Amino acid sequence: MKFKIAFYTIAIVNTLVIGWALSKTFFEDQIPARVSINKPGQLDLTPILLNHTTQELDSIFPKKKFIDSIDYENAMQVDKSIQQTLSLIKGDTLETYRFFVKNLLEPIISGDTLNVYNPSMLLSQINAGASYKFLGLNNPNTSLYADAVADQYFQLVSMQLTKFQEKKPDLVNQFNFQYLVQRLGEHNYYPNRKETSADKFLKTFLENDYFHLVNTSWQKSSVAQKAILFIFFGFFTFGIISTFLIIIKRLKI
Amino acid sequence: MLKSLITLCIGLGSFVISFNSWAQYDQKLVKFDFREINDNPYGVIKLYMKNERIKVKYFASKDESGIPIMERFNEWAFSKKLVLVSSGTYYYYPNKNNRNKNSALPVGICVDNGKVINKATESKLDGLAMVYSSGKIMVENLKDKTIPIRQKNGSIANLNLADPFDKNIFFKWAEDVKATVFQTHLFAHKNKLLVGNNSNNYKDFRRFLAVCTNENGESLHYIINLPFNSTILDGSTKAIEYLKNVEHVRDVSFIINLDTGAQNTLLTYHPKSGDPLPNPNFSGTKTLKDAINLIAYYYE
Repeated sequence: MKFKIAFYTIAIVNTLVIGWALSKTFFEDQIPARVSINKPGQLDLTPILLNHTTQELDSIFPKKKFIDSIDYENAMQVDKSIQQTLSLIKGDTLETYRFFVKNLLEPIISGDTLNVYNPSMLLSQINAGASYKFLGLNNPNTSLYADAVADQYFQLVSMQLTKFQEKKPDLVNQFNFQYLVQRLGEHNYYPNRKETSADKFLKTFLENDYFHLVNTSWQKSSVAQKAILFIFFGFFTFGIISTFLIIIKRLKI
Repeated sequence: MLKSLITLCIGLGSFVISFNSWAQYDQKLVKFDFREINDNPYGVIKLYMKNERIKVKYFASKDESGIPIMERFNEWAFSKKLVLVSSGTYYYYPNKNNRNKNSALPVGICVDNGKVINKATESKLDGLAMVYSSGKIMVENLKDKTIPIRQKNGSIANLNLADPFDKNIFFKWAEDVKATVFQTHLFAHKNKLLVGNNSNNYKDFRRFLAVCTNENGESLHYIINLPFNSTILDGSTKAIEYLKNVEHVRDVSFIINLDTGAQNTLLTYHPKSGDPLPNPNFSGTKTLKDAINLIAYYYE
């Protein structure tokens, strides 16, 4: 009877544990992919900007209408608008670039920060950064602003990956996370991977740095953990001594 | 009689000259100070930067062809008169299953001799150290609105690294002048302690690089090695107190952290023989080959 109860208890516990592990493996992080929004496309800026100067851009440019009309993750579309603006207005090219980056794109890009880890959204941001990067590579004249926008995207994703990994260290084991890190690395952006205490313990152990291992473990452990350690060693020592005493007694040395 | 006196003088003179050129470095420019303050050991190396004979070199990463730090350092150090070498800034392994030292990456912005390693800014590290190919080191606070950089023509440009335009100019400048740049914890800047009470309370051995000015206006660098367990706040406070109360420095330009965790490396060299000094107060707990990045002071 007792064996039956034990058998069924173990079976139920095992089923629950395996079920939980499977659900964690297959059903977690099923986040919807990025939904693409259809935008009307290129906005004709001629009637608004013709014969104006760079200094006037901030007051006359239809910021909201512009952002709503184009896919700002597509560098080619943004570049068309910038080139059109440059052909219409009088003034410094660099100032126009600054206007587009600082006043139009920067607030939107920094506002794209995610609260939940969403790999497809993050990948889309990396691709957006890459499209600006390649635009700059293909046309050195545009690299002045294109590299700046690319940096904003890559820095944004890097910052988010660091944040998500800090919240959930297991993320580093996921393929999509590793892929995103690799894609960022192609552009020399490496998000910091914060190591857990277990990681640090393992690292120090594998590097045979026993002095540092003991020192850090002792420093980081609480009073309760130290007490448990002492009790454990107490039992261990007691067990060893008892075993020796029994052996000595049996052998009648 | 006069002839033999002149010969003796020439002989003595040439001996002094050859002895000086044979010696590792000028002892007047490097002072070692060991003392116990409240039963805590302090190992301090004081470097006089006047005459620009003592210089700094930083190794942040393997080079473009994949040659690891240790090989790069050995090749460079072969023809140099070393004063000391220490582990530098924080690092991490991008792949936690691959702990090969060659795969380790520096945390935050990093450029090694003009080669951009990492463009991602680490928001928790306020110190941006810039080591120029001339052997000078400057540290700026990333929280300041702008940081000054010395351009190739000698002029100063003020850049705001939070501005993406300026950030690009910064990396182009670093490539152009073959600068070495890394991010680290900035514990004090312009006489002000920047570590708050809410900082990490984990205790470990600490090491700091402090740059100060003395009463005569001379620039001094200090490597303050604290081989006892202290928190970041406690350690940096002790370092500042040492500089103010023992060394009586006029200004503390900055104090940055030198990593003492898994790469606690510090080697100091004998002024005459050039052999590493065995004193544990001027040494780290790990060997040079365990370091992921290195900061070296040398005499030229």
